Formats: sequence, structure tokens, C-alpha cells
Amino acid sequence: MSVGLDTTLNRNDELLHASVGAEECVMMSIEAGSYYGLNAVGSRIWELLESPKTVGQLCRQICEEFEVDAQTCEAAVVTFVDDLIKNRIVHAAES
Amino acid sequence: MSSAVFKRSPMYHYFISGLHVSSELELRGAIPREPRGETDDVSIRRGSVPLALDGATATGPTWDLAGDIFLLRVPRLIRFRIEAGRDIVFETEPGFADCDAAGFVLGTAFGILLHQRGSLVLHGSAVAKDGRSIAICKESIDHLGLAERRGRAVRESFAKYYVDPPDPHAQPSPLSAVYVLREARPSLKEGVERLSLPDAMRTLDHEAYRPRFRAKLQPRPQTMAHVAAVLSRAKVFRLVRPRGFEHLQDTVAAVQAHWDSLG
Repeated sequence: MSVGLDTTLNRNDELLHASVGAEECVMMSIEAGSYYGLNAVGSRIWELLESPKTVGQLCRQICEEFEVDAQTCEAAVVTFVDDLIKNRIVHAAES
Repeated sequence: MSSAVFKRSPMYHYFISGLHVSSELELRGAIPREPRGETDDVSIRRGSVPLALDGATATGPTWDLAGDIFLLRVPRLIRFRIEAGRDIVFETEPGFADCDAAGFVLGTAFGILLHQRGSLVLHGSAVAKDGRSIAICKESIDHLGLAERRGRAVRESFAKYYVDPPDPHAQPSPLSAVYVLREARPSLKEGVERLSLPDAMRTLDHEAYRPRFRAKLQPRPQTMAHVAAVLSRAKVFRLVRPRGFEHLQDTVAAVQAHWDSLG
């Protein structure tokens, strides 16, 4: 499934997560025995996904909070979200 | 009635893992302290310990768990009743000497008590310097070149010995780094490498003391929060070094130089 700005994302609630310092975050899948780390931007995206959001909503919020232009932001967020979906950290909701 | 009949057991006082401990058992290797007027954080007493716990919610070949009570059995040697991260009661089997019991008290029993208190317990040693500490995980007295300071054997049939630290550090100091030791191999080159966040998390998770007991005593989210808290203040490194006495001083120098470079 390809990710677009209208794709709605939900967190995988089975993952354990904890903040590391002010900006980073670690996560763990007990089922898979896998560990993940997110930097400041990734952690903020994870935080925003406390409630379902579209990729477009995430991009707009990240553009407001970080110094990045919309085009760069969209490309980076889509790539990042793709990774999150592949690793089952988030799910793309069926449209 | 002669007062000599009623002889009090001597009481020993120690500072262990940041806790004030009183013990009826002498604990070689622990940092002694003066008794204080307040109630101690942990008491270690001789007493009657059952073979099993009534109402156990989880059991293993050598242990039972019922609420905040953990029963640990070392077959034919000693049993412990460890309660609420506060009390350790021990009962030795006939013929098992107190001096041999201390190793089990300071090892598995105290480790379980720390898990009960919700601590992150790593299996390693620590060094303090300039107000900070580093932890070194996975090493032994011989590999550290401490053979010349080898004290009394922990148990006669074991090549395991007490070593008193030359300058015991009783005051807690913040952990600034964890070095996890690995042996150099063709596929693993010598040196110090900082671990990424997920690798550091995995490593600290796996370096936990008695991980099976920890899994029974601490909910996973709590453990993860503890590891994350350590990662918030301490950097985790993998130190790959060659084994063998002839390399020891170089390894020590490398760790010291690296630690100094952290600032």
C-alpha cells in the first residue's frame, strides 16, 4: 500500500515506548523482540499519533514546529512513515 | 538465669546499592558503615524459611512468588524469604557455613530485593571518579588482573573470591557511562563504540541481573522506563578488547582515556 497525504495512521498499541531525555524516544516490540529509537522529529511524530492522524496533518504540524519547507517535509515524513509501517510501529487505516 | 544464655547476634551495617543495610550475617565485600539511629532500608536476618509459599502465583524449580514475597531455594544449601524490597530472611541447611551464605545474600537474594524495589539491576561492577560513575558489564576478577588482591574464596569448591575495593565509594554518584565488554574476534575489532539508542536499549535490557526473575517482579513497561531513564543520563558503549593478562593494562588505559574524553 503506498502512503499518501490522505493516509490515516494509527499507532500499534502493543509497542512499549519510553522517552529518553527531552527529545528522543525508544520503543520495543515484545512480540518481535525488536527495539527502535526515534530522534527528535520522529519522537514528535509518534507523540502526535496518540490519536489517528493523516500524513498531511503530520506534515503541517512538523512544518510549524521545525525549520523545514513543506516539500522537504512531505518527502521526509512519507519515507519515515513508510518505515514505521514496514516495522509495524504504525498501521495505515483502510480508507 | 545467666545472661550469657541470651546472647545477641552481632549486627553488621553496610551501605549497598545506595541502601542502608543491617545484617546478622557478615557480608565480606560490602562497604561497612556506622549504625544509624533511623530504621534501615533493608534488614537481613536469620530465621525460619518455608520450603514453599502458600498461595504462590508463580513458581519455578527453585523459587515461588506470592505477591511481594519471593522465596528462593538453593537446594541443600540455603533458603531465602525476600519481602517487599525490604527484608531478607535466610535459613541455612545443616552443615552450610555462614561464611558461604554471604555470597548468595549479596548475589541473587539482594538482586531480587532490588528488583522488588523497582530498580534497574545490571550485572557488572562500577568505578567512581570525579563525582561520576561508570559501570562495566561482563568481567571477572581474573580478567581484571585482580589476582594479587584475591581474598578469601567465596566457597571452597568455587574459583570465586572476595576482593575488597581499595577505596570504597559509599556515596551515590550519577552514572555517566556503561561499558559493555566483548572479546575481540576477526569479526569484531578492538575499540570503543557508542551504541545507537535501540542497540543501547537492547544491551541494557540483556545485561539485567537475573532477567527471568526480573520478568516476574517488574512489569515490562516499568523495566523499559528504567532503561530509558538510564539512557537519558548515561551513554552506552561497547568495549571490544583482547583477552589475556598481557593486554590488560592497555585495555584499562583505553577505558580511562575514553572516560576522560567524555568530559
